Amino acid sequence: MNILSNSILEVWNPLVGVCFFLLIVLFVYFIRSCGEGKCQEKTEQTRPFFSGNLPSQNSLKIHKVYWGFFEALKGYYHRLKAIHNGIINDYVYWFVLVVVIILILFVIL
Amino acid sequence: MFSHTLALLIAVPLFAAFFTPLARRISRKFMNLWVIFSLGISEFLVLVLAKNVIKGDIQVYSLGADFPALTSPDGFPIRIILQADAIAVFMALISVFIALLVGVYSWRFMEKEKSRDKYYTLLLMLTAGMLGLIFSGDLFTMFIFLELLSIASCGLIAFYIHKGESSEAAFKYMVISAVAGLMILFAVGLLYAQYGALNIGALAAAIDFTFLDITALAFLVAGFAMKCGAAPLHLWVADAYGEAPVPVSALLVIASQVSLYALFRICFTLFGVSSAIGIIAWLLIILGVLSMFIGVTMAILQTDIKRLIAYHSVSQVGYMLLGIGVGLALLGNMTSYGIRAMEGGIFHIINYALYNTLLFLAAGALIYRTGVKDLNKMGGLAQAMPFTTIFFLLGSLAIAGLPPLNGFASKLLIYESVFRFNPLLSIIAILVSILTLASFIKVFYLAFLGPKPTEFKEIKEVPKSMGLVMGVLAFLVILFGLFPNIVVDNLVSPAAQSLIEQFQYISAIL
Repeated sequence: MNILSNSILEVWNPLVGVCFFLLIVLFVYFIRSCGEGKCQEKTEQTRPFFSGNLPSQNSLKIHKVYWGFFEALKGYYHRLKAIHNGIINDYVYWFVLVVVIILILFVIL
Repeated sequence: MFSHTLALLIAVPLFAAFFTPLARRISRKFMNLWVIFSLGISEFLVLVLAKNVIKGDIQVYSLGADFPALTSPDGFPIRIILQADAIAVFMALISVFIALLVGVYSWRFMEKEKSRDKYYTLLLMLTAGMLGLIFSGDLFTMFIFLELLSIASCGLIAFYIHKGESSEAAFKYMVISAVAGLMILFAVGLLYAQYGALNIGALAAAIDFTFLDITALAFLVAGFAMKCGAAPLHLWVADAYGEAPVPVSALLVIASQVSLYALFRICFTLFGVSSAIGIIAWLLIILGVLSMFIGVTMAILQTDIKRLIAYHSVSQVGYMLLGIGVGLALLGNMTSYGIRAMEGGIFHIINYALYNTLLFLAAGALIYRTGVKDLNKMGGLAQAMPFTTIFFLLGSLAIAGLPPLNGFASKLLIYESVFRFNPLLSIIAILVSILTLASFIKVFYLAFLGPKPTEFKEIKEVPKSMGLVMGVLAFLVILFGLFPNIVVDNLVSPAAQSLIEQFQYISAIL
């Protein structure tokens, strides 16, 4: 059986992806080869330019990028965190609750 | 010798476990070699078994009787039956292969630990527990090996006993395992009380869906769902995976997969085509969707790298439950996309085992060198640890389902087939993949990019043996993504067929 035959994505072949990746690598190599040839490694020339403001560990962290996501789902996360409280008794309550729900579902339906 | 392969598969790691403390008396190096050698032998035995079974045969091995159907003069079945069909061998291949890689990785990762003999003993016992659970042909033996697995896991989670968090995580795991185990034992008792049999094949042939049968089914589903970490019964997962030694976290993932296998065995082989099948299928689908969404949304919140991967594990279990649930829903009237959904779910098991182990071990490499698990305290490690960076990146892209890696191949099968069953479920699955990618972009940036903290100036790449293990996993992640047909045709399709064909199983056992 062909995993992707009779599929919506019949044209997809993983090897096409590899060829595409190799093309990108070649393209990157081409751009790199257009760079300054006299560049000396491990000197100021190869260090990133920070415009005088050196980055620190206290700078803005990437997870702050998702602030909007967390804000939009504030109510959901409030409940979710309450469930994940780390208290073992609550874990067992959840288990009992799920067993009861499954039993009711099986017996009624 | 090969006629006893099934028994040897459980006996070898079990014997190796008890011999390990003696091997430690000889030398630490000998002990390490002994553990790797015994796991290598187990892997060889699984391959021998796979050669015979994967074509569709079912091998049955009877302990304490000349043939499986033998009973005592008064008709009492006192024997223990082991069975191996394609799905069992598929799971055993994954379990032993990952255990072997974990054994090699642990050589250097655990070298500073004084109680390595206890660590390896428990590791081998966990492997024996997994293999016993996989090959058990009766419910009580299954329960016994589930307990062995749980006890060994509990000891391993508590390995860093001097840390309060590890002890707490192990305690939680112990309570959860005990409750789930009790429910499973109670269910086994209910079935035995009615039919006087424990054999899965015999029970499957006799079961007539009384109220007690349905009650037993509910307990079994809930018990194994908890052990495999499906939401909302997943609450122990982050604690256990987060506090165990890193190689153990990787193996616990496989242990949870074995519980998932037991859940599928119960649903397909024991109860099979029945009036309750629709409810069971939808239950698996709902558990799958909850696991996917709750797992990934909790993962995005995390800053502890191990807890983050642990929540992603919950999310990935959801994909398997979704695929298999859709397959189960269509079991009575199996369509091509029903089979494809099952294949997607089963293919995702092996893919998930590979990339999740890779992610855990790459995270372990970071912890090994930096000594911290908090992502906010990491940074700029890509230059110092280039190979680990590549391995972690490959694992991240695979778990997010990006082509051409293995996660994409199995997720594509799930998306397509589930879409034909219910488009909304497929959309949720795709959304979860996008959130997974978002989560790993965060991890990658925090750990590997940006400025390097001054205390990490002397950091270098991990030892070669650890790198080799991650390299093997990364290679397979790419290989399975590029040539998924080979895996699907030779491993996944036979495994899916063996789950579907309940009558073939019953006739082989009886």
